[in-house]
Amino acid sequence: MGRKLTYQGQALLLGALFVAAWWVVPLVVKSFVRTSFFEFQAPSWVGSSYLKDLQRFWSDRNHSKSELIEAGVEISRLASAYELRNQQATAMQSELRVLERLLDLPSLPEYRYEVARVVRRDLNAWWQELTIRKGSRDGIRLGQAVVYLDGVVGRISEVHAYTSVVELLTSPSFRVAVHFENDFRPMQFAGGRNPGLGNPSGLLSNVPADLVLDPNEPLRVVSSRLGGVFPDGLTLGYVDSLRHESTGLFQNADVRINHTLLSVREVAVLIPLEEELAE
Amino acid sequence: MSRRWLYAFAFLLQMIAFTVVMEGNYLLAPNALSLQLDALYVIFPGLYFPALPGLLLSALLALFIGATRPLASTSTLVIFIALWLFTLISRRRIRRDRWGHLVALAAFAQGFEIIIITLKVGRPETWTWGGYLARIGSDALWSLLAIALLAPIWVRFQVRFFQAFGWSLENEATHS
Repeated sequence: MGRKLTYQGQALLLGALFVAAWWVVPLVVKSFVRTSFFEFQAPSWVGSSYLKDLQRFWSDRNHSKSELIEAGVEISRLASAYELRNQQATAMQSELRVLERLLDLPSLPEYRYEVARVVRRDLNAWWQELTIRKGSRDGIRLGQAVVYLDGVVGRISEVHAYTSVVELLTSPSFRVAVHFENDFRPMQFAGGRNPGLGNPSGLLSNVPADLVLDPNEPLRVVSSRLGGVFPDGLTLGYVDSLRHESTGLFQNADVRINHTLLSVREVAVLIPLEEELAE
Repeated sequence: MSRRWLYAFAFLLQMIAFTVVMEGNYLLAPNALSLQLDALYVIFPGLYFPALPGLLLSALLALFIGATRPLASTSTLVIFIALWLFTLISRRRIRRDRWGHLVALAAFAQGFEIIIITLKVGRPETWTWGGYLARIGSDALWSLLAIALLAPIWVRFQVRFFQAFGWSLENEATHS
């Protein structure tokens, strides 16, 4: 007579059968289940985000009138400065278009900024992701660039109806073409260094061997349009020192990333105007 | 009310716990800290429910939580079922009313999960083993402290919650 399985044996067999059954399920079903569970949770994150906004509103209402007037004056000064810069940028863009026509050059891509609140942060040693409060219904598509006040945030890695997931530039799998400010030679930035209770950093590789750095003047690392995702000139971080690679052909460096990236509350997704018109 | 409502409420409570933990991680993120408390959601079904409902609940939780992570759904499913199995097998070796036993069970289960995910994901190319393991260790330390504090409270809360609705959980956990 065969031996009866123990309770633990039965549980183990049940678990193994379940995993085997899930393993053979078609990918389309797995993808549908994953999306469904994600969309099921999304309203709770969005709701919680609106509650945080409400909390901030009521806390701001407790400020005195004089504090609010001072803040208003500062904002209007900033707005005037940005308006002037806006006018200069518009004039430069017109001049650029004239030059493009004269020299028969392709036009630089133009973008629309879709501002979105961050509703969830999942930042750990294995992955670095944010979830934002805008999705495909707002024109967001996979792979689009995400930026904030201090520069690059990352790239859209998943898109759902009302929410999207952003892979941060501190993510281990994030790679982007960059260059130093005022030096257009391309290099590669790779994310993935996120010490606990510390500041994030990335690795810059393929730095030209002839580049020399003054320790008192850190170099700013900016995005390159060669990657095709980010416009040129957006800040990723700063480099304080360079070191030669073992081959001697190139140098590499640690990129100091702004700590404010980890506490970002609002981002902007760069939606290419060309793609939008095509749709 | 039928047993199905018991399992549905149990799933709802774990979903709420997960949402609260995610909100906690939202607040901790600026300090480069993250809490991983997956064992917290699986302990109660593993200790108090029969095999099949406990397995189904853990699997559903795996799909629910796994939808928010960049891991394959099968990997998350295997991890959660392994946690459930660990808890189920430990049922005969611990006393569910003892605080220390619950703490030890939760801490071991959570530590096991952190190790499995670390092995699955692997070290980033840009980071040394020292730096990577230091971050894992930092998150693991805080996660284990949190789960040691929360696991007994959460399990006892659920037991009293369901007893208040008239469900006797002692009858649920049967041994062969």
